[in-house]
Amino acid sequence: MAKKTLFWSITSILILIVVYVLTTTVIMPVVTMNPLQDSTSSKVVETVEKSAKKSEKTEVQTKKSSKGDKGSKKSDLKDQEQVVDEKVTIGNQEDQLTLFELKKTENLLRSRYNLASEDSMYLVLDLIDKIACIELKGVPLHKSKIFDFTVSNSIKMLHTQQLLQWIGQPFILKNAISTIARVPIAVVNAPKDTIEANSNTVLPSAPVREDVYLIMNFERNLQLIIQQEEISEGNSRVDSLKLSYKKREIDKTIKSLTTFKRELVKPQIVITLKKSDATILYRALPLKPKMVIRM
Amino acid sequence: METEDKSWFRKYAPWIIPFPLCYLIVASILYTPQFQNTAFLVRSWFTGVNLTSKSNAGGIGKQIQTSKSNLSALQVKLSDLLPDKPYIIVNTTDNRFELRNSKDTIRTGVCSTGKDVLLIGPKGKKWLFKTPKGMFSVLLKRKDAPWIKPDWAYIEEGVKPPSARSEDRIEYGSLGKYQISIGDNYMLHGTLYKRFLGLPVTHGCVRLGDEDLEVIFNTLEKGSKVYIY
Repeated sequence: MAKKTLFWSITSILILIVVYVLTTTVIMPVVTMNPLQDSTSSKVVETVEKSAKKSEKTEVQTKKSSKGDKGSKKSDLKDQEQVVDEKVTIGNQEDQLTLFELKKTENLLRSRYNLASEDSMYLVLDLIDKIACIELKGVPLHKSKIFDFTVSNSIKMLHTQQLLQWIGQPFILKNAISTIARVPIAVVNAPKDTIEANSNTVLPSAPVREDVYLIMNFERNLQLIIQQEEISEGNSRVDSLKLSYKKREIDKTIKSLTTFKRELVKPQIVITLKKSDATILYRALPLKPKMVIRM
Repeated sequence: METEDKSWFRKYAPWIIPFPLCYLIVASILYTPQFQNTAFLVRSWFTGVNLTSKSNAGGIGKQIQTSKSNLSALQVKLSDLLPDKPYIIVNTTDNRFELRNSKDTIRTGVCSTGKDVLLIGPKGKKWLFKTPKGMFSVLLKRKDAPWIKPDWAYIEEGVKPPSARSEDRIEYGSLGKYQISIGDNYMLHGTLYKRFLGLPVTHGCVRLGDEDLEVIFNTLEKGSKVYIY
């Protein structure tokens, strides 16, 4: 009997957990959230097209009904009113999208203008035009083409207002790990005499370009990963960095599973640049650079 | 008693595996960022897009207008930040330069920048041969100026430096025909070692080829901006 009670109590606890998870991850967000995805604009366009078709149809119907009796005219008028209502709503949708896009651009320009007043270089990540640009005092110094990029779902699903707030202010770098050195300084001891100086003379050669993989953790939990477009030249540095990062993440996950402390969602942007551009970007930016995003 | 235990075990055995599995799935969704990321996707399946809000509808036109005027004002402000005079941008990673005016690129080419070496002298004194990054201004333009060799130039060659005011320090031709000073003893100048252009070999200055240097010297004015990254 006691065992049965234990069994049912465990079952009910598990059911409660499942209900809690469903509530927090699906039900509550559905009720409260209003996410704007990349696909939303196309959805809006679709609805606009549908409404346009509808209005065309009703125009044809009204022309037809003008030839008919009064009763039918009344019903057509009702239809027209409905269409007008829909148009207002759709107009609002379009306006809201326009406003949203304008606000995003305004925020970006304002951030860039504010950053231009500082003495440090900053990064402008334009995911729409696929350009990563280093700027200083409002002057674009180096533009790198972004070959490919991915944005995690947690960013895509952000509410319009939340997204505006989130990308409205520049992101400040907290820490970064990479396969290349930021400043590759070589330490040389001065030669004792001219003989030693002459024997040490080495003809300068072009520096070797190492494989680049950067993980940059910004404030507001944003993680920017920069990877090279070129295929890795058998260099295990990138793999070992990825592996050590994965290990760290797994450790964190296990820790959170055992301690019941929830990890914050880490919105992630992964961009692919040319190896040389990635190197330039990493070495040009200061230790704690700021970044603004256009998306 | 033992048989009762066995029957209980048989009855509930199928539940033993699903329970921890269920816990793992649930806990994973709750506690790992990877699963949370997927949860965001699941959310989107359930959520529609509702951009309209009737309470906002009346003010949207005004908001759009305000936003548009703000945008144009900001664009003007940002374009005002671009220098009026021609300016030069130096890329220390690729050892390249770009001479620009407010609209176009005038000239691009190779240069040499700092070799990123820390020289430790006999008495523990240190010199860092690195081109500084940031925004600088042209402070002084000179023609055929001599180079006053600093201490590190001797120490690097394994020679004891002469006294500070010794005439032995004066060397003609090393800095090329033109010199553009940007402060803190850093310059844009010519070189005798043209074969090393495009490589990081300097002690912090920016070395340029003769033709490039002449164009840059004639284009940049006193106060023109020099951006190094």
